[in-house]
Amino acid sequence: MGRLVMPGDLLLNKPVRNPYTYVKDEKTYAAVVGMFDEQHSKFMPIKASYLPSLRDSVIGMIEEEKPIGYGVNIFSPYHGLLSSKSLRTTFNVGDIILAEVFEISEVKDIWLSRPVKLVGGEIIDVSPTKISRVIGKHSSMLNVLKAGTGSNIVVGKNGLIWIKGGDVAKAIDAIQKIVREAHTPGLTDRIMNYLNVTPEMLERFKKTPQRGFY
Amino acid sequence: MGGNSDMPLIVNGKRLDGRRLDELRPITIEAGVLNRATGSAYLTWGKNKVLAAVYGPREVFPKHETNLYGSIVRCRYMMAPFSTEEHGRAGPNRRSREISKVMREAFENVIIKEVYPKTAIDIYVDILEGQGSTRVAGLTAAAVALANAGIPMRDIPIGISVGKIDNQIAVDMMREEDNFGQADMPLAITPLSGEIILLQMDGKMTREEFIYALDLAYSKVNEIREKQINALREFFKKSSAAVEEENGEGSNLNGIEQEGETQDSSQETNTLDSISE
Repeated sequence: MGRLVMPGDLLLNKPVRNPYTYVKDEKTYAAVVGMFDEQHSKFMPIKASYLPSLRDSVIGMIEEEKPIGYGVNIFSPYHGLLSSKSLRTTFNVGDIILAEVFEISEVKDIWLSRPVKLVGGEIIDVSPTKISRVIGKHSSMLNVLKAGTGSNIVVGKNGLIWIKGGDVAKAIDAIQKIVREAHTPGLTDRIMNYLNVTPEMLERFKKTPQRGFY
Repeated sequence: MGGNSDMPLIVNGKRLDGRRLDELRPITIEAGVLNRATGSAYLTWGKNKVLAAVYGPREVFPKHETNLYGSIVRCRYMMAPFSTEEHGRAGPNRRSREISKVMREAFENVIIKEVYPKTAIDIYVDILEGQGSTRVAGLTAAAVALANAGIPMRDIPIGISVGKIDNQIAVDMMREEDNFGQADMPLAITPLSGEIILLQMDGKMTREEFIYALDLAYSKVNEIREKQINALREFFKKSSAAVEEENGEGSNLNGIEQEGETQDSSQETNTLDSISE
């Protein structure tokens, strides 16, 4: 499913804008080490820092209390901010929250909204570029993980994954497998095998109502 | 430096360590050696041993150095006190500050700074053992560390030194040649575009010698680049090594080189076509 490219390798003969590529003489070149899928013109960096974009759900940690709200560490080069105007609850420093990016100011202040406190559980961090594979198309991979382990899993776009209940160790193993093999095709099927998930189980899982974050 | 010395540097057409004039010392590079750094590399170049680490993009401290329109690049080159024959003093000195500066300016030319505004990219280059041409060895290692860290770059620069010893032009100067030769010229080159992003010279060369030295340096660029690329490939193979063990027959690692089978590709990676709209 593509080839490993190095910074400076030619990707496309037409100019395309992307944070991980650059354009020179109307041609697109890779700017980081990544996998390039020629057939679908897809470029997936091996490693990259999280660049927030609007409506991303991220997992962060309350770092400080400010007059305007809270400073949130979202494990990105930029600081998350949570305005207390829209908040009905209070948080303590050290709380883990799931929140949505709703505004990015021109000085790269990341304003978050709709925070949900995540209590207990375990958190692992993976490369933010691999998160799309952990979720899968229409959450296909995430459903397999949840059905196979019985865990409650919340995936933040910034690379943090919160896991609670069920077989946490198995879930972590499976996620690390996904991350290692993120560049290979047919991954969902392999994870289904790995977790012994049958299509029937998956269908049954999809029909049952989802639990909340507790 | 700059004059004729009593020490013969070329004997029977061979240099002190038995190399030809246009021969590099053996180079090995390993990427991703440090767990806590964003990217790292360990390089040996002859007897030189270099550890390079990259941190970031991360928040800028002190805050007033922030650039709103791009990341700032900071570089610290340091020779360990035990890296040379005579035990040195720890900490920065005039020489290491100069090299840090020229190295930073070299990397500012290849790093695409606009991607992460308001951040700092810190490059640390530590010479654990120095036997001549450490700044180009350090730069070569730092370039691998930057690529390993996923910092957007236009190219992976390489460093190489050329010089004049016993009235002849040679590539890759070692300590004795640096100390007792007539000229020493470290260079950093971006292999794909062929631009020179660092050039310093100590000593004297004629115009013809300079041009010949430059050509000699360019002829060695690909040799060094290959080592860097291999290190990055090896790191990728290592970090996805489990694929080989578990998948037995259809080892997917081979799929990297050749065309993989068509597949539904069920993920939401950036489709370059859709972004261009």
